[in-house]
Amino acid sequence: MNNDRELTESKIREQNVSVYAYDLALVEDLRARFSKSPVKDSEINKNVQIGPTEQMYRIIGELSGDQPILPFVSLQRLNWTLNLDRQRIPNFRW
Amino acid sequence: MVFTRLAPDNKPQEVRARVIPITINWQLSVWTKDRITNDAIVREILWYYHLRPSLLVYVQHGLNIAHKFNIYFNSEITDNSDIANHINNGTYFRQDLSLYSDDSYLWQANYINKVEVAPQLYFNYGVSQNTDPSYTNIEINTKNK
Repeated sequence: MNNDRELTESKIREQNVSVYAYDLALVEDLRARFSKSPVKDSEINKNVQIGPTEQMYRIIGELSGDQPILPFVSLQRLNWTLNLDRQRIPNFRW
Repeated sequence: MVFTRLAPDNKPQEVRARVIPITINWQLSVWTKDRITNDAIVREILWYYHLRPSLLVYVQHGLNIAHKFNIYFNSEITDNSDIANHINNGTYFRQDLSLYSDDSYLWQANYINKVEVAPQLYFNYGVSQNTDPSYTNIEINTKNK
């Protein structure tokens, strides 16, 4: 019988792509702020996570073996919009 | 934004970053066991990013650059401690901060082989009927004069 939990623990490498790169930059900065000095890249602060706010308590619980440790900080991207008033570049033809 | 790199054939190549400016809105939530800790963390976060709003984002998409962007907090801080799961999940306090960045971009790289400006400094003043080449082609070589 497959253990579904093992599937979720496979390493997913977060990539700096598109708008998610900004999410990642922000959450990594927050992780660095809430880490003890010296900050190591290999150490990820589990108590700073990206995700839906209403699900965050459950997510932190999953990550910490059903024993969430407070305090923690969550980040959720609400939306993003195109700044059409500053959008000039696409008119160029290279 | 334009910078030069070496193409795989070692010839200089211009890399142009094409961008679409965007605004991103986030919600930052702080969860604690007691209110005083929550207020203290929110205060620290607000002061820290108020004084240091610039962050670096690493842009791939063929560019491999670091771009600075700024984050700003909106004025309202919402207290959502008394939500439905407050009792079920144990007592905790939560405050939500909303923040945005209006100098973010959607990136794309565009590669162009570098073309140098090479002005033609040798001018022909018409074609004479004289077939003597030394007569028909009057060359102005600015470098040798």
